[in-house]
This record gives sequence, structure tokens and C-alpha cells, in this order.
Amino acid sequence: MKSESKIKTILSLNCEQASRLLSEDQDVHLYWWEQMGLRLHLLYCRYCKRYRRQLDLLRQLFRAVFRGDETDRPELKMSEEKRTEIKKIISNKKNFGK
Amino acid sequence: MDAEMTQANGSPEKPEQWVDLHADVLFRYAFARMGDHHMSEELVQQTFLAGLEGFSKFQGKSSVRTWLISILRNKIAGYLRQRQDETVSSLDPESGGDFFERGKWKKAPARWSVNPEEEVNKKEFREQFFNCIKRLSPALADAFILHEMDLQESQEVCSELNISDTGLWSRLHRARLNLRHCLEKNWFASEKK
Repeated sequence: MKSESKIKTILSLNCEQASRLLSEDQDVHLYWWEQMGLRLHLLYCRYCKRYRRQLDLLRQLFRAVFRGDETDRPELKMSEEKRTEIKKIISNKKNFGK
Repeated sequence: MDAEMTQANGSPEKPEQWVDLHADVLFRYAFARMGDHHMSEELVQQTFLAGLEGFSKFQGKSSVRTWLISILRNKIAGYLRQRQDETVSSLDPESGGDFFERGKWKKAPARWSVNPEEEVNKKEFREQFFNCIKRLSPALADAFILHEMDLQESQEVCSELNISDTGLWSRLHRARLNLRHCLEKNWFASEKK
């Protein structure tokens, strides 16, 4: 990246760009100039600060909702009957060919 | 040809074990995409059957699970297409531009005071959460769920979806903006604190 655009990223990030970087920040390591730009933007933008927190919450919520084996959330489990049914079909198909 | 083959990592994985090894994950993915318990069970069953039929052609380039997931994804795509549900893609898939105007938030994120652990114990919240995921366009939902369920490396997700990593980050970004907006509108804004 050219150094002018690095400087631009650092000094004049808007909320749309910041939100994109905040999202990427959840998954990958940002370039140093992106990190600096974000840090600067977050100093004065409380909405993006909120968005950052909400991204963390979204992830926590998603994981908590899907942690189906630790809690009994019937909606996230296949019924025992269905499991047995499928197992039966698989072993029949295997034993007697197609 | 016998269906017993060796998995990519060398350990044998027999179809008889599939249900115990993969049914939960496949089911959860299906449920997240469709929000329909019965249909999810059906499509997971179809996935296992298709897997059984095609197992002799499975080359062990990916894990059995990755392979089964990709069969399931196709089945879900077919189902969603056929259903042509109006709720699907009612949130604009392609633009983050819905949320910004000249670089600024159109509707500023509100303050959420929330304890995630408590929230997810509420059935109504979970319903709303699934609802919001369901309203994502198929492309965004697919990328978001595959990625957040943490079943595969990002690289695998990219090749599965046939997109570049930039494409993946962009879909995740849009999925998150949409989800955030939907949850705020339908849950966090209406909840009395």
C-alpha cells in the first residue's frame, strides 16, 4: 500500500470504513496503519465503540446459543427417534447393498 | 466397492459412526440456516444417505465432516430456492450501504446492556436470534454460520464457498451489520431495562 493511503487510513477513517475494519479485526490481524486508524477513530466515535462491543457480543451470543451439547436446548438437537432411524437405514444399506 | 475408507488423517471412519460423529453439527448448521426442526432432520437424513451413496467416490481430500457439510449445504440451497420464502433475503444482501450515508452511521448503534449468558437462556431471545439469522440472504447466512460455527479454517470456508478471503471478510462484515441491526430493532430496543 502506498504511504499516502496509509496516512489517509490513519487520519481520516470514517464510520463505514471503521466498521469494516472492526469486523475484520474479529478474525484476522490488521495492518499497523489500520490498527492506528481504528484506535484514533474510536477515540472520538462512540457509535463505532458501541459497534465494537456489539460485535463481541454477537460472537458471544452466537457461541452461547450454539453450545448445544452443554445445555439441553431441544431445538438444537436431533430427536433420538430420528437418530435411531438414520442409524438403522445406514446399517441396512451397508449390509445389504444398494 | 466397499464404503469403508480411510479418512484424510489416516483414521478410519465408518458410515455407521457418522450419526454419532456428525449428526449434531450437521443438524445445528441446518437449523441455523432454516430454523425448522423437522426440515433440518429431514435434510440431515438425506445428507447421510447421499453420503453413503457417494462414499466410494469420496477421495479423502477433505475430512468426512467437511464433505458431508458440503452435501448438506447443497440440499439446503435447493430447499430454500424451491421454497422461495419471502422472508429470505428481505434484508438487502449486497450493500453495507444500507447502514451508512456518506461514511456515517445512518442509524447510530444504541447502547445494549446485556449479559450474553443470561440472554441466551431466554427462549424468546433465541427465537429472535434465529429469526434474524434466517432473514440474512442465503449467501451471507451461509458464510456467517460456516465461519462462526468454527468447523473449518477460513481457507476451507473460502474454497467451500468459492470466494476469495476478501470476499469472505466482506460477507461476514455485511452479515454482522445486518444481524446487529435486526437484533437491535427486534430485541434490544424493545426490551425494558
